[in-house]
Amino acid sequence: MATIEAVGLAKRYGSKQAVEGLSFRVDPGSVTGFLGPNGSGKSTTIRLMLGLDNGEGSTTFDGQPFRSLRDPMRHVGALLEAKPFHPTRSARNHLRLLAVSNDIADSRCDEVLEMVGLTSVAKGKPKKFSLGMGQRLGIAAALLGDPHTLILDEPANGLDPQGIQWLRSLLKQLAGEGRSVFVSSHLLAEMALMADRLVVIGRGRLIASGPVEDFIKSSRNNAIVLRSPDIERLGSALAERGASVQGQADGSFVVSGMDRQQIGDIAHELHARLHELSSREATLEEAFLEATGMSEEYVGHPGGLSGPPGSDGADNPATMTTGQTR
Amino acid sequence: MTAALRYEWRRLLTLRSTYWLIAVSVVIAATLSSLIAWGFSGVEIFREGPDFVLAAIATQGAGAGFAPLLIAYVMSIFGILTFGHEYRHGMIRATLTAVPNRLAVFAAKVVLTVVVAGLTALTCAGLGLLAAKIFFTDIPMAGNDVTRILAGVSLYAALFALVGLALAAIFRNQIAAIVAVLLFPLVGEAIIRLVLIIPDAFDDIQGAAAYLPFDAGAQMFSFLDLDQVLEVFGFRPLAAVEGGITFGVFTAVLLAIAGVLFVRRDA
Repeated sequence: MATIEAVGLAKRYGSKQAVEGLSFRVDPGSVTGFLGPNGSGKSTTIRLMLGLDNGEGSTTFDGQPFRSLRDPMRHVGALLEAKPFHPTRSARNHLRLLAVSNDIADSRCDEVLEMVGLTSVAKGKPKKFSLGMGQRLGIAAALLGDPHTLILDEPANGLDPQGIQWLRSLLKQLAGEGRSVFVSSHLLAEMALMADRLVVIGRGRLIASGPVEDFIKSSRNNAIVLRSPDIERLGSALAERGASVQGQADGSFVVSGMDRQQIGDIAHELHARLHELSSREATLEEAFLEATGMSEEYVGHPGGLSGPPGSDGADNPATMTTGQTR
Repeated sequence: MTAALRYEWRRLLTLRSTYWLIAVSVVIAATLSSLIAWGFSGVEIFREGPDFVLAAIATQGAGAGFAPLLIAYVMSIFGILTFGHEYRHGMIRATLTAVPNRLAVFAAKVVLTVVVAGLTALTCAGLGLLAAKIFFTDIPMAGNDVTRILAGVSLYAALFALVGLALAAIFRNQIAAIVAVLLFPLVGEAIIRLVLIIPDAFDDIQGAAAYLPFDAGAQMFSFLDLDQVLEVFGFRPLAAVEGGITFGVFTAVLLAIAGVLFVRRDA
């Protein structure tokens, strides 16, 4: 069992501060998702944790920094990037190469190849591998030492839907065995299904850290949906008592800042009729976009794209999202 | 350190380039030495046994200044690939997550490069001597000359391979390192030496020409260097031991720079 403790991680490239004062903790028995927009410093953070990049701060695995671990692959399995292997060294030999330095038996190479479904191409050259096969080989390398901690940078990249489902099951199973699993991904729907906890960063700084449910609950997109023919009276009363009431295109109203019970009580006091009073829970994607909205490193603009005939794009939700400025 | 050595050894054994670079060296040595021995055996003046003849055969012409020591260049490619593959294919991060001790990784690469390049060159020089014995049956073979050829060629090729290793680690680019190890000894040193020995132009620093590292190192196995014709301009090549030390110091400086950068840089 290993607890990962990152304290004060910081990294500067020239004038750009890639990671700044980043501290978080990953506990055993959980899948911790590592989220952040492109260029937010996720990969840099992972390299700092493993001592591959020189920066400030420290990361310990059960109190020990990575560089001081004896046979580190038996403690921490890492997947850093797609296809980190020599193109003509066979998949099995790639694993044997890693294994020999950590006193891992060659038979374990065959076991992990079986686990990731690459047994049939064990003697194949990685230069002929697809991105997904390369990812599976990278995951096999991470599992080689049967480590108590896994650090995976975008492991779902290139995997097909079946592969992603397999990865989810595998990581949840590994976490269920009491291991610490720290996994970065930009696939939010996948992360919502896979992760127990989250570390969210933007522009190299910590935005949120904790259980996924807490992160989603903190979103302003959690709201009460209300329909009432007496909305004028009811809306005024709710606003007077501190709630925010916003009309929607479908005729309903979204109320935030007050729970359903309070709204029901006020409606009862006013003898206002209610046709709907329901909760709408934010998705992880909504919570993530809300949390990182001001932290995007790279922001797309519509540029040469033109809308459909007759549209000026002003009321096009997609255009409004991609055109967001900081 | 043992983990790093085990890793590096298996790294070499699981790469095709290790085998074909050694094979190319052996084929070059066996073929060229045999051809030269067979050709020299028919030349009356060579039958009298000047010592450079044996060196020329065993070193494929290099010991008499007829050609650069080809197998040393092949071994420099071997040295370059030791770090070149790490950076070209992104293997360096996999390597350092398996063996995080960077000094140990660097040292293991240096040790095994010396062993493989040195032993390959020793084999090649031995094959060269064997070719001399086979195709030039009555060639005089003094024990001292044989020892100097074997030691000089092995040491030079091992140091040359380390220069390649160091340059690849410094540049983190194997193409740049290959260009450097080909251009500097073959073209750069020749031009610098010619400029330095221009009469009355650089008299104060003319002596530096003898310390050009690759040329100095080649004195370890040179018995008659064509550079010696430049003695009329005042140029005097170093003796074998001085030359070896010069090349060794040059290699050590490059390795020190490479080692410090490897430890300090981001992977």
